[in-house]
Amino acid sequence: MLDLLANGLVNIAQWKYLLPLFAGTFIGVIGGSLPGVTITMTVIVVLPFTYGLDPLAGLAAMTGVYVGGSTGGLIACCLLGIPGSPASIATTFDGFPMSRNGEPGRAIWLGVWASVWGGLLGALFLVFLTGPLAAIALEFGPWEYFSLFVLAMAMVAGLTEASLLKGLLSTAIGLLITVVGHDPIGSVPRFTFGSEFIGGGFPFLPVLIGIFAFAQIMTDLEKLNGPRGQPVESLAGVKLERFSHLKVNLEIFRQPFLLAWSTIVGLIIGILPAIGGSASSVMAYDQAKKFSKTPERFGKGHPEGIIASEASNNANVSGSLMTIMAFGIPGDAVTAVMLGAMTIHGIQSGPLFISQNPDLAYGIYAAYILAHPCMLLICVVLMPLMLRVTSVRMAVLAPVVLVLCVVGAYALNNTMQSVYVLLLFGVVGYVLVKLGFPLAPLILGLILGDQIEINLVRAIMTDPSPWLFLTRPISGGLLVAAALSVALAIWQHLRHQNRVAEEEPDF
Amino acid sequence: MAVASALLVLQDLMKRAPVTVEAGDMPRRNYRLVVIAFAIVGGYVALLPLLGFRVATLLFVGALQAALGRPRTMRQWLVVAAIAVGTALVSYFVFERYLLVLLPRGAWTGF
Repeated sequence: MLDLLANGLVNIAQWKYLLPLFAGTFIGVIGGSLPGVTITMTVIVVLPFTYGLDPLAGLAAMTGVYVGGSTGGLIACCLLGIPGSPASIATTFDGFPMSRNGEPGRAIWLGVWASVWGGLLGALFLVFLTGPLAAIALEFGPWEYFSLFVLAMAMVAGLTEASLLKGLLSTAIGLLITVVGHDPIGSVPRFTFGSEFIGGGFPFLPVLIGIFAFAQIMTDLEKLNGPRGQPVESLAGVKLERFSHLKVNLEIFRQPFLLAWSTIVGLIIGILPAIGGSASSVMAYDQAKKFSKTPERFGKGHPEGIIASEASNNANVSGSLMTIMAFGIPGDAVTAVMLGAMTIHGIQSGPLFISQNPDLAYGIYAAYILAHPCMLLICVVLMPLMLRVTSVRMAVLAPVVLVLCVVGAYALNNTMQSVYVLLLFGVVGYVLVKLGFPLAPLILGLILGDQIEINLVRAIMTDPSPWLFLTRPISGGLLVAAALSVALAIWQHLRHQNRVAEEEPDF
Repeated sequence: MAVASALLVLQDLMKRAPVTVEAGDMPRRNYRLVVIAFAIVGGYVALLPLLGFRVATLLFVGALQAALGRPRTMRQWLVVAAIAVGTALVSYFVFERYLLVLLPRGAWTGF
């Protein structure tokens, strides 16, 4: 295993791969640091560039974006007091106060170094745990897969902060989108209305781009030119004070438990599908506060808050990569784009991925590991300029991002149809956001739709008895867990509603 | 599965219908801008196969920038124009020449 990893590292160290990785990390740091541009959006922007590269180079670039973006977000947090990307929300709580106390350099570099160490710790788990996880997944038959997917969707629908019904409905919409077109096994056309245009179903990537980049930008535009309601005073023109990297590192390692625990929280959230970086950063922050000896200092520029949030959101990346490589289920929207890119290059993801494409799998590990030093280097060089970068106006950014979205959709198969789909789902996504539907369950439904159907049909074709889903131990256990998680969500929701003392629960 | 989703939709609609209380107007948002932006993007997508990537992108980037933050001075107009030309040319060269990713040709312009 270690020799494979060494091979992977040597392989990645070629210019052919190192350059995309470096460029990806660079774009990731920039994209992550721009408020209003999410990591998902950055990956989508990079996507069309990867069509022309060979698979590993493309994936290396995307891994770089993911790592860079998870770190870049903290820069805006510390300097402007707004998260540069959702994954760094919790960094704002302590990073900005610390900067205001006159230590912006310490705040930023605590974050960067915590990211590096959290990410590298996560890499350990990624390298050593993915194989065993995939081995478990290999034991799965279609029944187990079906139940696993049901569990994933139930959990995500239950975890959304909005109402459970909206979460479930959002999943259902995602599934419904995948049903359109010929069914994957019997090839019966469904919901096509006799039209050639939707006969092939909605291609996955354009839908994703539409919902996550296009709709997102539109919601950003709402705030533009409006009454400037931002009460945050930014630290424009501030100079980073002198500080020593060694001291910052010592500060992190003085609390190994904090670092390790934040990493594990991030990792677990990353492994769970479709929850994503923002949840991991907030949860690790919460945990840090609970375990801290000085909880009262949180929110006033406490270094522990920054370390927890940043270590966990980078570990979250390794968790997501683990899920996608072991099970073929993307852990979040970013890995969903990566999965889409793999499919374009004809690579099947799933439990066989590691054994069938060891070069690629270990290449991704290596890219993930090497992305951290790259990111560090970029941060060191760019930091003096970052304040100017983070204040680039949305009016300039939006058109450029949109052009790249359109190119990403068009170049997928060189037809305008994908672009029309992109536009359609941009509108759909925007409307859903406005109606308060969470998008994470939708994307999961969309990703799993085909798989869940194939496995269901296969299971029934192998043995028509539907009871097998419950009587096979693993499958049954997963289904029970799914039911439990929905029940738990309902219970929590009811409790919450009682506490808020609203009239009567609406379900 | 389709039936299940349809059921869920129905169920949700029935249960949600009586409790649609909108939370008044929160901070006023700029919906006019969103509509304009959607219209411009729609126009871009419609014109893309007709004008070709380079011309359409040039117009689109320029138009959307101008719509989002109206340039006032000559210098601001120049910046807008420079970014529009830059985006169109750089993306064209990187994709078509370097990465061999094909971009839409114009049916009217053949360009």
